[in-house]
Amino acid sequence: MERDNIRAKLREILELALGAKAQEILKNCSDSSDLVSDLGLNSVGILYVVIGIEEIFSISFENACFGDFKTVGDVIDYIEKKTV
Amino acid sequence: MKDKPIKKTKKRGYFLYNFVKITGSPTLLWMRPKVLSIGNTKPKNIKGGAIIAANHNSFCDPIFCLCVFWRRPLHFIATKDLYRTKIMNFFLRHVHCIQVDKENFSMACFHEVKEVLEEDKLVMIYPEGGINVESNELLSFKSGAILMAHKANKPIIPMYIVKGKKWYNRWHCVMGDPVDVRALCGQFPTLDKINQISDLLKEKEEELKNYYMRSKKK
Repeated sequence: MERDNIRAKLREILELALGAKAQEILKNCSDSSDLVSDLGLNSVGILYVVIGIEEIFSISFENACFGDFKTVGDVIDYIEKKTV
Repeated sequence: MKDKPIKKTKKRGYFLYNFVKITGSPTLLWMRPKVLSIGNTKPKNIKGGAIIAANHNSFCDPIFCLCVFWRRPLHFIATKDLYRTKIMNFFLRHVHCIQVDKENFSMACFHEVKEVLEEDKLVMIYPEGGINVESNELLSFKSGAILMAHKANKPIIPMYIVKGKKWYNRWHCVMGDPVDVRALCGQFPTLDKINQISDLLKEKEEELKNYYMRSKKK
């Protein structure tokens, strides 16, 4: 799957996770944006995003730890690797 | 990424779990659990998989919960710190506790909870996230349990464990009606909705606490 497609779908999931303030936060979102400090996701928020990714991309994060994903780019890399 | 293949448990053996239950049966005499309920929820009425969400007052709570759900195996979520020693690691794994790392959450925990619920078993979660020794007020609830119940499409049963005054007092708990997460928030909920249900669960827990206080006064 192309990186741009992954990014677009990930954005949809992040919009659901961030709620009303999503547009404002995602305005400046790039691959280097930190999931915690830039997007304001806590552990439940990250779990929500991971579950969304598993459903939409039909992949499994198996026993990946949240510490493995610091930025949006890390998540996209992982999905890219899994959807090859 | 440090991805290792997930070990698929074909059949869970409950030998050590049952051994602990039988050898620990005198605790029934100590705790003499008394279950009150709002509605129709009694431990023996719970069929199929469900998450039991309770407040956490002391280290003895899991023992009490074992006594309450004597007839069915319970899977507890245990923090990684408890697995430090080899003995505890062996023991907790063989009584089917599910390890959770609060600092660096692993999806293995989430998948194991989902798997256990889909096997129609009970999972015990303390949504306060730790033992609340300092106050009688409930701490805020974490929403992870709601996400787990939603994904496995199983209900959450709220349970309030009453803080005992003396060690020899009889232990009480109050159980509430199951919360059907899917029915409340649909198949694709937003995170805000999940957090709202977490707040609702806490309100239900408060109701159970007040119910106990009122029944005590009568």
